[in-house]
Amino acid sequence: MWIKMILYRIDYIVTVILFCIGLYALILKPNLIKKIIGINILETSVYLFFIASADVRLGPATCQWAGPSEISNAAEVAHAAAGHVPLVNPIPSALILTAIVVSVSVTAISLALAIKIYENYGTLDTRKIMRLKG
Amino acid sequence: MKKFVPAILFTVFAFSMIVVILRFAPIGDPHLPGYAGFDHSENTEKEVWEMTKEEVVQYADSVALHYNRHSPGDTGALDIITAIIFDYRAYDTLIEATVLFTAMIGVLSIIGTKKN
Repeated sequence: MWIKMILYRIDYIVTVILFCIGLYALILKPNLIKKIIGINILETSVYLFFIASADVRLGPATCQWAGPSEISNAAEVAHAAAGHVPLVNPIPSALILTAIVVSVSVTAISLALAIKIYENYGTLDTRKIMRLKG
Repeated sequence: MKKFVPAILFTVFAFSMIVVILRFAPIGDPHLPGYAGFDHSENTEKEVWEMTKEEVVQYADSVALHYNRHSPGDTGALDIITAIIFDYRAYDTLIEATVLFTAMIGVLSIIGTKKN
């Protein structure tokens, strides 16, 4: 019973584990590079949650429509487009592509700031930086 | 002791999140809000894993169904995600490029200057 309950939601469990790993690294690690890695792991868990919640049983992924082998199968595409086949919701995947761009921008700015902090203070350890007092 | 307290706090946090998430519908359930647009809780007598394709189709959200049905005809793109990103939400993608450009300006203003 419990095994079934967990295995049917295994994507969500992995999401929670990834989120906790990312939050742990973000809050408790003193190294700035490890904090940035933690932010990225945390964002990855959110992507996984969105895409897993859009999945539907018996439905193919939307990217299966493209590709030379699928184009030849025009009758199947028309059948799916008529609404007789359950297709995965494509909107969360499109939104996650937007979120990936924001994540890349945040990572770039944080890494640039980390480089500047290392040039000025000679360390990436936040405890030592706090002790230096500007 | 200093490492013991955060470990307990994170275990409690993860446990509470997992308890909440076990109340969700299973992966691939057509009742999930990612697929069904509105509440179908009154006709949930059938187990998800026994449904046929015709029964799953009934729960489709109108927005997702519209994209799935009309995107090849509207845009000519076979991949629905491509159709959404570059055609239906093209302005969103355009402003995304602005976000990347702003991040580039930020990085260049932080580390791009030459030292004398």
